Parts: sequence; C-alpha cells; structure tokens
Amino acid sequence: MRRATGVGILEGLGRLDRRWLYLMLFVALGVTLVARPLLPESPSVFTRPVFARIESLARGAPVLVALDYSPASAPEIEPMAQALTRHLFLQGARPVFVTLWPEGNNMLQRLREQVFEPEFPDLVEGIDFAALGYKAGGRMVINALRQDLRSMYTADLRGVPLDSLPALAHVARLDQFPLIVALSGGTPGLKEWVLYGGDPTGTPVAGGCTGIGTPEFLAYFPAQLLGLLGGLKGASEYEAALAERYPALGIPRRAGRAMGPQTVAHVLILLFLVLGNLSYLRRRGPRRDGRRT
Amino acid sequence: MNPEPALSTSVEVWIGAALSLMVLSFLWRDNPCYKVAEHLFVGVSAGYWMVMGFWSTLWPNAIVKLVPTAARVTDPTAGLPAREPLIVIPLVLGCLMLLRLWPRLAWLGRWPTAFAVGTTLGYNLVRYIRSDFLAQLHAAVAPGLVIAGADGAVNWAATVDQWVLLAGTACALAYFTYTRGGQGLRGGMARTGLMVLMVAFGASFAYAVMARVAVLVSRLQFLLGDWLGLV
Repeated sequence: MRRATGVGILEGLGRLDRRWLYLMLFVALGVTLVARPLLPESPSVFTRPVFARIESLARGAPVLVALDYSPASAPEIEPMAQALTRHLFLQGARPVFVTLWPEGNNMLQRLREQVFEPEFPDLVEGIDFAALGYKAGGRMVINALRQDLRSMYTADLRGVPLDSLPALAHVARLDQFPLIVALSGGTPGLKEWVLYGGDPTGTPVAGGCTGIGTPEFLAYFPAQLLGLLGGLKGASEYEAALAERYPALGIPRRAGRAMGPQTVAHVLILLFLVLGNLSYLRRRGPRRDGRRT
Repeated sequence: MNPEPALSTSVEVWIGAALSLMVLSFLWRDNPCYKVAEHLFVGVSAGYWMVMGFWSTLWPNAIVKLVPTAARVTDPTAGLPAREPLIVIPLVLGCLMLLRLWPRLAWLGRWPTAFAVGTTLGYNLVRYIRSDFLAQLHAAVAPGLVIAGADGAVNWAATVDQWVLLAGTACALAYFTYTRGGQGLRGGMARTGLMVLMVAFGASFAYAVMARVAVLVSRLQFLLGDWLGLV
C-alpha cells in the first residue's frame, strides 16, 4: 500500500505545474539569503596563480585592469572586480582602469563608490591609480595600446593629460605592464585581451568571466591565461584567499555570501532533475520488448 | 537577518523593485505588467546605446576630427585637436551603409560591408590561427610529462590530466571523422569521443545554470536587501 502511494506521488510529480518549482526555488533562496550562511571556500588551481601573481607585484607596479562588463553580468563580475582591486591596492600596485564597453565607465564609478572611497580614502587619482575609461573599437583599441598607449588615450576620464599622471610615468605600451587583468562579461573582452594583448606581447593575462564564458576560456589556461576566475565561484574563491591573507582587515565576502543560496539552488535543481527523470521513467512504462525503460 | 529591517525610502529602489517584480511575473504567465517592463527595457536600452554611440564614438572620432572646435561643446577647456580631413572616407562609408534602407540605392551599401568584412578577416586571420589554433594545438600535445618544479620531479596528477585531455581531444575528433566506417579502433574512439562531448556539453550547461542562478540570487538580494531591508 505504502509502495503504491510512493509510486503515485512519483507519477504525480511529472504532472506538477512548473510554477510550484519556481515557488520552491524562490522560498529556498529567500530563506538562505536571510540566514546568510558563509560556506567554507578554498582557492582552486585556476584562482591561485592570479592571487600569487598579484602578491608578487612590486610596490608601484602599474597593472592594466579592463572592466569589460555591464549591469547584466555585474552580479558575477563585480564581486571579483572588487576583490581584485582591493588586493591590488593592498599590494601597493597602481591599477590603470580601461574598458571596451560603453557601460564600463559606470561600472568603474560603482567600483569607486564601493571600494576606492570607503576602504582606501587616502588614494590619490593619477598617482595611486588611473581611470582612462571607455574607448570604442574593441580589438583595435588593444592593438593601438600594444603600440602606443598615448595614441589611444590622450587624457584620463577627468581630462588630465596622461603625461602628467605619475601612475603612468613609465608606461608607454601594453608590454610594459607586468600584468593585465581582464574582467569580461562578453565580447569584446577576455578573448580579445588574450589574442591581441597577451599573446603578441607575452604579458601575463589574468581573467575573470561569467559562468557561461568559463568553459570557453578554460582552454587558454595555463599556456595563454595566467589564471581564471570563473563566475561567482571564482570570485568567492578569490575573496576567501584574500580574507586568509589579510585576516585582520575583515575583507567583505559579497560573493562568498551569495554562494550559500547558490548551493541551495543547485541542490534543489539536482533534486528536481532526479525526481523528474524518475517520474518520466515511471510514466513511460514498459518498453515493447517487455523490459522496463 | 538584519536585526532592524527597514523598507527603502529611495524612489530609484522602488522603481527597480517594481520592474524586477514585473519581469519575474512572467514566471506565472505572460501578462501586461511583464509586457510593459519588457518594452520599457528594450526602449531604454536602444536609447541608451544610441546616445552612447553618438557621444562616445561618432562625436570624438568623426565630428571633432572634422571640426576641431566641436571639442569645446563637451568640454569648454579642451585643447583643439588637429583637423583630420581623411576621416571623411570612413564617414562616407558609414553613410553608404545606411542606404540599405532605400531599396533603389541599397546596392551602394555593399561597398562598406565588403570593406568591413575584408579588413576584419585580414586583421583576425593571423591572430586566430596563431592563438586559437596553433597555440591550442601546442598546449594540447606538447608536454608528455609535466615537471613540477626546479628539482625535476614529475607532477603525476598534472601528467595524467594532460594525457586524459589529449586522449579526449583525439576521441572527440574521431567522432567527427565520417569518411571511414564506425568499426574497430576508430569506432571505439568515436564512441568514447561522443561521451567526451557529452561531458563537455554537460559542464557547459552546468556553468550556464550557475550563471543564471547567480543573476537570480543577485536580484533577490536586491529585493530582500536594498528594497525590504531584510538582509
């Protein structure tokens, strides 16, 4: 009797309105978000080289940071942009921000409000970092930067000429940066920085991308890509490494906090998949040759 | 949970929350609220891109280079750049592209299209062959044994990983070889290649799911945190 009831429930699951699944997902995510669990995290083989490279940078080293993303991909990319920028400033490096996306300037502004101003109020623009902003042209911009930085950018976002910026005093071309950090939500982005920036000049490229882009870019690791922060998980790993390196600073764990709901959602989706398939197999019944399934 | 939850008093946050809920209402079924949000999104996006395209591309790269004093329109203190009359050529090509809107003159739009395709092809071909083909080939087949450090010790885990990758690539390529029958060694490789492809597609799909869930989590963070003040 109990077995028959179980089978009935299993068959009924296959006919369940999908909106119940959405509701269950929303409730599970909501509860987890309010509970704010912080799951244990450790950097993967793709994240560690990026962290180690930034740790090895000399004080005052200029690092090109490309913010090639928009609000659509910000939930995944912004936490890694925050963590990487935080790490660069803590190391005393001088990030030089550029973007191949029109929305990139707004993303840079958000980074100012979220990281630069509240956490590093003593930094001076032009000396400790430079914001060059958006230029149209995609891969052509990278090509121009490879030959002459000042042919593409004559002034920073404030209109201050590049020649009067101490942050760029010893930088004329792309290959004079010891590191390129390319955070990419699509095209143009990380692929272009690898193909037209890193490969021709030999400059190491550290990448960050959305979860959807990760399988494509993993093919470049480790020969053409120093390391890769893949989606929210990559950002969370980087935050964990930074928190371990600077335990006294109370490094914010924005991506780490989002990994709790993310994990709950994955478990729930897996459960739905298993139950859905079991229900399908039960309803399909015996095959023509008499065997089940 | 936030010990003192407080509803947002920001108009922007309320508009954002309302639009988020209107978009999410599609999960219930297609409805007028969703349509309003969808049309608003498309319209605002198109307008934003048009304005950005004009002021960040057309204005500095065409107008200012033809009429240097135009630089002072956006920045009264800006220095005057040198005039570049040759910029007329790409400007005319760009205008020709718009002629595709008039059927009688549409044929003129083929010239800038041909120019764009030709230059893009010529510019990208070498780089793609070097970085996306030769470098990938080299990375796949080069090291038989992966050396861990200066002492010359072999990293066996990385070595096995490398060989599995190489074997998987060979099997996946065998799956796409249709000129020979599917028997024997090649048939076995093709069947293994199919499994390799399935694993790769599965991993890609899993990453896509992860990305979508991350976006949903972010939206719920906004609704529960910025709007309702619960988080």
